Amino acid sequence: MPENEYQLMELTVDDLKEMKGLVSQRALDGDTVLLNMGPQHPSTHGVLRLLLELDGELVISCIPDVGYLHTGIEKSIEDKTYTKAIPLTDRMDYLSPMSNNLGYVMAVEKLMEVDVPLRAQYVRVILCELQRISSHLVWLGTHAIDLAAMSVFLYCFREREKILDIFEMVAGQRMMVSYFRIGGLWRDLPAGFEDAVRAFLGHFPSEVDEYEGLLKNNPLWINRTQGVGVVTAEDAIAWGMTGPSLRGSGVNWDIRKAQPYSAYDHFEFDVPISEAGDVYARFWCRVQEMRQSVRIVEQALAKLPKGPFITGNRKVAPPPKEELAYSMESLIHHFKLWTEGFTPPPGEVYVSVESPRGEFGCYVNSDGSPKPRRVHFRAPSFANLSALPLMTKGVFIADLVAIIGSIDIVLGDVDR
Amino acid sequence: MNILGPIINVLFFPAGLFVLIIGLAYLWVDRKLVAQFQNRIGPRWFQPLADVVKLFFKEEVVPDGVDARFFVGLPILALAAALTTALYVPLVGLQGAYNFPGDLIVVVYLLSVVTMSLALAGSNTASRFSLIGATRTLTQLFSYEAPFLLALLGPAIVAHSWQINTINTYAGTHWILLTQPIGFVIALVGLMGKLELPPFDAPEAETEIVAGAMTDYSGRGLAIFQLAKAVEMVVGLTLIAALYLGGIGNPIDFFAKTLILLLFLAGLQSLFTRFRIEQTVKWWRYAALLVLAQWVIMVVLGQGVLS
Repeated sequence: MPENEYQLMELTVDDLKEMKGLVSQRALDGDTVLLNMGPQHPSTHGVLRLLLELDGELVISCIPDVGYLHTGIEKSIEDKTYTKAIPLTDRMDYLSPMSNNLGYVMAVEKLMEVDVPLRAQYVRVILCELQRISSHLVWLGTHAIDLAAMSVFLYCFREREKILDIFEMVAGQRMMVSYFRIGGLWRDLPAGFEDAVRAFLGHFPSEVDEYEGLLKNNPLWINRTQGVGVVTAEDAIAWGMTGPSLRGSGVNWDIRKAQPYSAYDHFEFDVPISEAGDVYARFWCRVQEMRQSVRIVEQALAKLPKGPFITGNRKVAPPPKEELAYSMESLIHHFKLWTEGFTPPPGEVYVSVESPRGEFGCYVNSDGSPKPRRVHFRAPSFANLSALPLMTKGVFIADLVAIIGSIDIVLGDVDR
Repeated sequence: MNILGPIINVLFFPAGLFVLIIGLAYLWVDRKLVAQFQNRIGPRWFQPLADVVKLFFKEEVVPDGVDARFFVGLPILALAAALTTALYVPLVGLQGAYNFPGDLIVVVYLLSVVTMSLALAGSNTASRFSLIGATRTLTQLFSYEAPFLLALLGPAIVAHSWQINTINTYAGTHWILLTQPIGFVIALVGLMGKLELPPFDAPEAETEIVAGAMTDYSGRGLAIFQLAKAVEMVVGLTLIAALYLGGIGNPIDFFAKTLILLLFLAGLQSLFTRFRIEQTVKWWRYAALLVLAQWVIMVVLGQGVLS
């Protein structure tokens, strides 16, 4: 092969200098192979680039490179009023827009000291738990397809479709719902919502059993997941892992239990914990969580109170349209909210919720103007992803794919 | 006639055009079955043909850093090897167009040539995904080849012949599946390994290494590789049906037995997850031991009991 053609395949000397410290000396000497996995790769779950140093099939080191899906959402919010920022939060973790909405509106509610009616709280819990099921279904499907269980993927998407139909019913949108508002909800639940959710809950538990059985009773799946990508409880905490990825390592930390928010303290549910810390443990935790979510939704639906769906505080919640015809005050509130927005007092708050991926935190800093000075999101995917190099030391390429699947990252969440 | 006969045999029937059409039809059946298992509708009947035609009309990109002669030649070699095997097996219940003592061995090795071409094609290109795919293809080839061959030789031993036609005739009166169940299972699973179907699809694991050895192939080369795989599937199914499932005597026999096997393969494909490559090797080590154990049993019991 001519020398110039060889250059096309190899990294230049400058490239290698940059990588010093990231890859081992053997890579610089040419003993091991450097491989770019991604940003366009089917099992990096989005546009994640992994620089792999390979010795044959073994992964010597794995360097995640994020930023390919940077959307600038945090910065964009600084130029929006508090209400108008809600649709942007949908687009971060696009598999759990409900949780994102909830984290953000709760932060602003705390800043404004607004009370949310109980009905709205219950509806929020129902929708967030349905969202958790739908997100976990996408995770289960994609995780399974990473290990070539394509059937499970298609079955999971069939079920998820039903949840998205419910979302479309309440919000008019399947994925980018923007249904929660500061102080409550956009609208009250439509007629037929409870029946639709009950119908879903009626058959879903048996479906979970089926999917779990397809994988759990499959020795190939067990061989591929048990003992792979082990992360100890200490490491998991040290790297800031949260959610099912942390609970798979045996740490009992669920914000729904530890710091109950919304109406979570009204319901009984268990937090599944597994000690092993491997891919299988994380798989098991998430599957169990789907069952617990079903329990929560059932309870919330049974106890769903009547009443207003949004706060009566006219400073944050718009008055009903019909009031505008006879109430001057309502007209003023409406006009103020739709032109300027509302102004929270100066200060800062941090609120976190348990999103399907882990702790989703929202930090809002207000300078007393209608627009936030700074909003920062603590993205669970980002922290979980940072532990990837630790988990992938010395594994096979095939295991790497399983491990990426098991931490359930969403790249929109990683790059806000 | 003396010249026309072989030309027809090679170009139209049973090798050549005919086996290509059967291959594409079986590919469709496989895709349709898997789709049905997976809660999908699946492709229309002409989809595999349409895919191949589309690929033939596309530009074939020869990447930098490859030997163009090998890049173009290896798919053709693979297809030629696959088509040649069709001459020796009892397709649609007819006797193989050609036969000689020992053609079973030739067929098995010609089927391996398909895999070898794929591996060489993978190692010929500069892409690292191809390289990993080629390594895995070869690793897998070495691990399943021995048990697969041993499993196919089981019927040959009881039939006292290494000629496919003779074994086929013998199998017409003896269901070897009943006397050598282990051999049957391993031959069938060996075929899955050969065709790189799940769970033995690590060499072309699309979620890990894009398309394995075929990553850099597009257009004509890819189409020819796919055709070779399709032919390999038909020949493999025919071989196992002829050897183990009571032989193939007529077209109804052929279609019924091979399609039942295909149904079985499609079911396994949609059930299983993928083996890691070193797990594949481990699995085949046990498979080889099992076949050998069966051979020992055959020797101890004597061929008289088994035949």
